[in-house]
Amino acid sequence: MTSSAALIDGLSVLREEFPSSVDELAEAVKSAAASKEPMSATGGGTKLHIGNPLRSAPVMIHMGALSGVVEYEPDNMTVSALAGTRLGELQNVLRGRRQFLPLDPPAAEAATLGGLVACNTSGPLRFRYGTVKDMLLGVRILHADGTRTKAGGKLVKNVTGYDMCRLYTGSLGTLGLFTELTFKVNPLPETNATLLASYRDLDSLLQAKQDCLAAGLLPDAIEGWNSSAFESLGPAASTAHWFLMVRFGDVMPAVEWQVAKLREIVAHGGGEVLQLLEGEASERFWQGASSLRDASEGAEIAAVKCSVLHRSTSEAALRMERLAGRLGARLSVYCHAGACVLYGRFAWDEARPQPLELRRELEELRKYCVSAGGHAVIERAGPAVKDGLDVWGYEAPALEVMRRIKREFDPNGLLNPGRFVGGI
Amino acid sequence: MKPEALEELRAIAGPENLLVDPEQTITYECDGFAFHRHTPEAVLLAQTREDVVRAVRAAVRHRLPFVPRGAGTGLSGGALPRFGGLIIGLSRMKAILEIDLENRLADVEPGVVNLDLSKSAETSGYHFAPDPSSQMVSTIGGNLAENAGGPHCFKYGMTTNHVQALEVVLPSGDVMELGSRAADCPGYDLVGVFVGSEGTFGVATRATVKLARNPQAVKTLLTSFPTMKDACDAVSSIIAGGIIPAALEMMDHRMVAAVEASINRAGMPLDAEAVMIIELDGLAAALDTQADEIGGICRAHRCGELRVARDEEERATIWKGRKHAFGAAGRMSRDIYLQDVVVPRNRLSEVVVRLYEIADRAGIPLASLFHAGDGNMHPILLFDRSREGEEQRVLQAAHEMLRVCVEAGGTLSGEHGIGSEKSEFMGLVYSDEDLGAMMHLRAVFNPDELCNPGKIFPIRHCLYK
Repeated sequence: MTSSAALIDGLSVLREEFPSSVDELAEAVKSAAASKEPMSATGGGTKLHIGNPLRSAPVMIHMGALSGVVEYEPDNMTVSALAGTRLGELQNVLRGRRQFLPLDPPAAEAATLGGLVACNTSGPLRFRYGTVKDMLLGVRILHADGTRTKAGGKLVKNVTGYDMCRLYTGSLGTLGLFTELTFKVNPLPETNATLLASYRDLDSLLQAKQDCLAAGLLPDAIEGWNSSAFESLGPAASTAHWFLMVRFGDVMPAVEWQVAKLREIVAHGGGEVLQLLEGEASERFWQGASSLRDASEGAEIAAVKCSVLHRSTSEAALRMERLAGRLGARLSVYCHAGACVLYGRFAWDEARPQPLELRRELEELRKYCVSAGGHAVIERAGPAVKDGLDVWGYEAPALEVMRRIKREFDPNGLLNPGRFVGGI
Repeated sequence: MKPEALEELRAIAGPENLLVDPEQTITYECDGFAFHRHTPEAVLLAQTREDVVRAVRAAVRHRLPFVPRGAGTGLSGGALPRFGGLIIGLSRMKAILEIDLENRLADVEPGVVNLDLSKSAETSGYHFAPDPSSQMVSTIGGNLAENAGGPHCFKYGMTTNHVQALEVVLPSGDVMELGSRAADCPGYDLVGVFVGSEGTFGVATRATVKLARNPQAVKTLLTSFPTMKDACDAVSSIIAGGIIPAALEMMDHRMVAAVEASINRAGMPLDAEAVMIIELDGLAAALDTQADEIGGICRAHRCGELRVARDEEERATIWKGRKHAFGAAGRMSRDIYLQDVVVPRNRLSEVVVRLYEIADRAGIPLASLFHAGDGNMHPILLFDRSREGEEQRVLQAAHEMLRVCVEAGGTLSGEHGIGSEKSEFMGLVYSDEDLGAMMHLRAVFNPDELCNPGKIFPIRHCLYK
């Protein structure tokens, strides 16, 4: 591994550590803590762009060698693995028993379990299966002072003490470094199918989502992408602007019934069915699709994640489009239509806008999302853009509670200092 | 309690909403866990969020411990005023503020009865998924404090999986919004941390909860097994077989006999050691295949007749029997101890045998009621505390059951909480360091420990005692 992989927002690192056991990791953390050196951890390096710039150069701890399944119990539907285990590797093990962890983030092959939990990353399957916090049953974690603790267990139902798993999920490595994680897994559906349809506008597409749910369909995923996002998948070009992608996983008769019902909904709602992908073709489609929202490409990019409520979803997309128009960017929108979460990706082949201008535009977009009861997190933007803002944009009074939590768990502020909400 | 404090509390919601007469406050001396009792000095029946804020601030000013309480159906002493002080009763804050079908959310006050929310969403085709057996009376505030479960959480998850945002009055008296209506609120998951904190992190005054679509079709199966072990093995096989029923419930013969002798008799087989209710829900097109597969698995484990509820009425009868089983157990003996333990699903059959051995050795009859699909067991010890030494033997047996479950990779509570009941046993599962991490969190929310003191942690780890 080269040190270039360890750069965060262009900041170089103090030193790199490659622990090969939990004991070595504990030693590395203790020694950094003793000299008050800040620390950051990385697994697959797939999410180093997330968060505010670090306050100072850290000791970069590479978790990739802490890898492997510790215990897999198919008849309890639970699996425990070391935090540096790659999701792809875990899925291979589970597939052998026709089970899976229903998590389909970008870069699923390379991303590690620790990184996914720390960043609370999810993908289209969240519609049916929820997000990381709905699957995580237990953790072993190493805190900033070298203390090792555990929480939860291998039980699908557990109210023994506070729900620490929820606290740690999405805490971006600011409260401790995971060493081992236990998840609830699910049976692989017998078969799956995906129906692709096109719409003239996002409003009609979103109405189709509501119609789907009202009709009692139980899709695995409901996605709405704009044409630029959809084109990168490679299917035939269409003059439509928005594309609906609905995935079903169940026994064959249930999948067939849902596909037929969805065809009716599409036809009545002014959409046009493009294609039905079945079985392996459907699976392959999503393997490619899930990574697109975060794929690295040659062009300079900025990326923002907006979460809003149903009624503001298409307005949020419209504002992204206007922003792209003003700044001359190519915009891809990947919308989890079911959850009302939109990922907007702005790309410039040349003539990237001034950082100040981009920052102002992103802040305008955020203002809208916040006013609509939602959030806008800037996931990608160069350090020059990030420097003047908090990428999380969270300023509610509860931020003060979060700061107190950080002070309790990491009083010297050594873990990932500055990267989380409000500069935590 | 000092007269000034009483005066102040009386002014908050009016004298009619402050109970101080021992004849009235004695009702609040315990919740559904009757082994620990302590009468509060006063009970304030809050009508509004403002009442809660003022009550908490008054308690803080006068250094009074205070305990939030819903319907008082909790089973671990969560609403017990362990050190006296003030109970803040929330059962009158029972407005359903909004049912937002567009986003499949509902805004409710904490005193809304669980089932009332589902009923009010029913005509629109939605319900609130957590369904503890107490759902006819227990409140949503209490459900979220305890992270309540229920038969259908096997498929749909616990209360925590269904809470989107909260408005809470912190133990400081500050009102705060946690989480957001929109998905993926940035920052630490304070909603997830608050749910299940057993009333030690403050008082929820409004909850935004998720509504679930009513299933298109439901199929309820009733069958029996010659032994509890056969039934538990069948559970493991169903889970390993890749089918997730909506509910997978089990009762032993003694429990079934009690149900069948009650007004809620459900026609459950009386000639077997174990009875199982398996409910499948989802798309009509999927249920027949799944029911066939499950039938095959059950037969492989020597099940008796497999009955499928013909209609909604028969289904309701079966569930009525199940949900009132705890009440039926109460009629089997003068006193009962309801244990709540959980083990990995593949350890059920070995553990179940040991639970019966423990009860036999103690000479205490045992009846069983299991959320088997979750590995969550409720062995019920039937006894009479007026008989010399029996209560002691029961508590020892209950303790031994905890040990056996923890040794099998299980834990102290699956859905009832730790409260005052099991706080001294936390060391069976957690090291001092593990508990230390939890105490960091307590120090953030409840630094003086005036809010529901003496719960969850062994008393040596409690400031207020």
